[in-house]
Amino acid sequence: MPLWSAASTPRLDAAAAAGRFRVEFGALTLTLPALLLLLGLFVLPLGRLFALSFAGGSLEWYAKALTGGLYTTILLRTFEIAAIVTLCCLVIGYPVAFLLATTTPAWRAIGFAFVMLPLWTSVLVRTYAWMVLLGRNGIINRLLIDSGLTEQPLAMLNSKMAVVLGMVHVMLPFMILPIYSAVTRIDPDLPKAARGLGASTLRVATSIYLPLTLRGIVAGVTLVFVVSLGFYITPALLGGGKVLMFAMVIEQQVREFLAWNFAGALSVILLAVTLLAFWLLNQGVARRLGD
Amino acid sequence: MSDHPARPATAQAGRLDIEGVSKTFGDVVALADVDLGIAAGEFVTILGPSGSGKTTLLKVIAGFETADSGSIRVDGSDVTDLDPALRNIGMVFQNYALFPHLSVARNVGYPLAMRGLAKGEIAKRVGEALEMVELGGMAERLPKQLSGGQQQRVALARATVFQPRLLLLDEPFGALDRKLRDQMQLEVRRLQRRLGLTTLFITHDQEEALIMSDRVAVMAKGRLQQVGPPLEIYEAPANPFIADFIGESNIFSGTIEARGDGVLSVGLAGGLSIQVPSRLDLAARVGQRAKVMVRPERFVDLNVGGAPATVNRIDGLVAESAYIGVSDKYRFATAAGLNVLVRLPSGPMSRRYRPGEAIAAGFHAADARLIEVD
Repeated sequence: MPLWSAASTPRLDAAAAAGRFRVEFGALTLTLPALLLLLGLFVLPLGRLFALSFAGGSLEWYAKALTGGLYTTILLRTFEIAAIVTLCCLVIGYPVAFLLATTTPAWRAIGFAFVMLPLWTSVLVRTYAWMVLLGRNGIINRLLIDSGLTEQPLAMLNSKMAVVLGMVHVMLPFMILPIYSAVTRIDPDLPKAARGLGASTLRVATSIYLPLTLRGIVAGVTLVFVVSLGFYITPALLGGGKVLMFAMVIEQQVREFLAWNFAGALSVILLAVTLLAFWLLNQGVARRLGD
Repeated sequence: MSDHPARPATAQAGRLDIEGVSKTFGDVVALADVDLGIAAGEFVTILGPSGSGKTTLLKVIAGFETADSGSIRVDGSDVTDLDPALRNIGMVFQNYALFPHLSVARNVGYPLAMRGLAKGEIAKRVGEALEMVELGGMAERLPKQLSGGQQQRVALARATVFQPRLLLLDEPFGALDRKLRDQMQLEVRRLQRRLGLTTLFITHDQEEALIMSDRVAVMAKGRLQQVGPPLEIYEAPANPFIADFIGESNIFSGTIEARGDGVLSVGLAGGLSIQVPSRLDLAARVGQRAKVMVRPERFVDLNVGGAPATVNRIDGLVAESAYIGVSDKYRFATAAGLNVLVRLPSGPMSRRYRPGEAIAAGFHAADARLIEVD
């Protein structure tokens, strides 16, 4: 027996190693197109921006961006708007996701159609639709004046509210989908068990649903917050230049001033801050969930 | 929320009365006029095939489903429309339904926390409950870190720690292997006796039902077919469905040929005639069709020397044979094509038959039961 195993083990190992190599090689081949695409369209331009921002080996562009208050104020406002959008998406999205996950299949199909419809429409079209709704002579003002509720049209467009409204509309599905998926993974007997053990509906929500959907909430919050930080079209159109977000400043530097080095520095700052936010959100969750 | 109305009542007698409960889902009748009374401290099993409505009945009692009509009363008070959180009924779910994000201790303490008990009191009672199910050292584990049997015990501790008036068990042993299941059956019964808990147990496993229960209620198509002690259910099934569903059985159809003193003579195919005890509760006249049940293990091998003289005898040729361990199982056919299933005790003294061999099986009149006359 020992002889037999001594003789055969190396052969088995060699075969296993060959198998492993084949698997890895196969996986690499399959991901190669995606890797090349990322390298060409993402890593290279990013590296170029990075290089531009440190042009001449000095940190002058970073010094300009981080001192003087203007750009840090805009960065803070960008964070503020992203946070408000995320909060609105969570408050609106959680109940929707919950209903979708717990309703009958027929209603679920209808509900999903309404949730997904915006995703199939261009951001530009949706943003213009909001302009039609919110404008000085827009549908809402028309209704308000015609019904005699107001004398003068309300200034709704070109405000932070309009920007938040438009962004929430765009981002809502990204909050709903991960939470929906988390709710559907909960064993339907768990809330029943909790009820039978004496929990009120509210206690079931806080002690069963909330902790068990935390992963979905964090995924949705991360997605919405991080993507919101880099929003450009919606705030540009609905804010009418009055609501500046960081991505708009970067675009301005390139298009109006051809200040590539400074735009590079601003981009790197936005990227760094976004990654930091992403990391912090995930750290918090990892600690909460204990893994 | 702390002054919860479901604070454990000290008097937990737990008499359960189910009266005229019906429930339909669309066109499907899940429960049809179910009546069942369970005495305080009694262990009653609802036994039925899947789709018989037994789980629906359990859900109606727990409050997770609303009955279309009828009432549920616990200790005389009507709970039919009561919020499930206020019913004070412990339940063990089929898949245990342990909260995956809470430790064993917090799972067991959950019903106590919902009743607003003080932390110290919760810790004390959780400790006692875990000791009772022999999981003292597992308090800080998560459910997924436990084996199936241990999860089962946690579910049991959680369902009993708040001194419920009633314990409901929904096929709790389905996921356990046979050995563990046998052990848990005994353990649940011991725990139930110790706590004096009125218990309603649901299963489709007839052996489990017979082993565990004070009384068994057989259910099919939303109706209770028969309610009685295990012995009665097995020995005196009320109808052919129960005879067939509980254990193995031969059901012979024939015509009543003669009536004697407490005995009927029933003619089967091929001129064969068997003696069967008549029933006071089942009127039978000569010429009527009747169904007779004989359990396979009640047959004796008449070819073996020293076999007792039996009044009934069936001859045939062995079609199939199987060695089960405790017995030999044969299916044989008479010349007229009547199929008979018999189990003969296996042992060094017993004779074994191969397919094609002639066999003669006998049974006493008392081992046959008239189950239907029409």
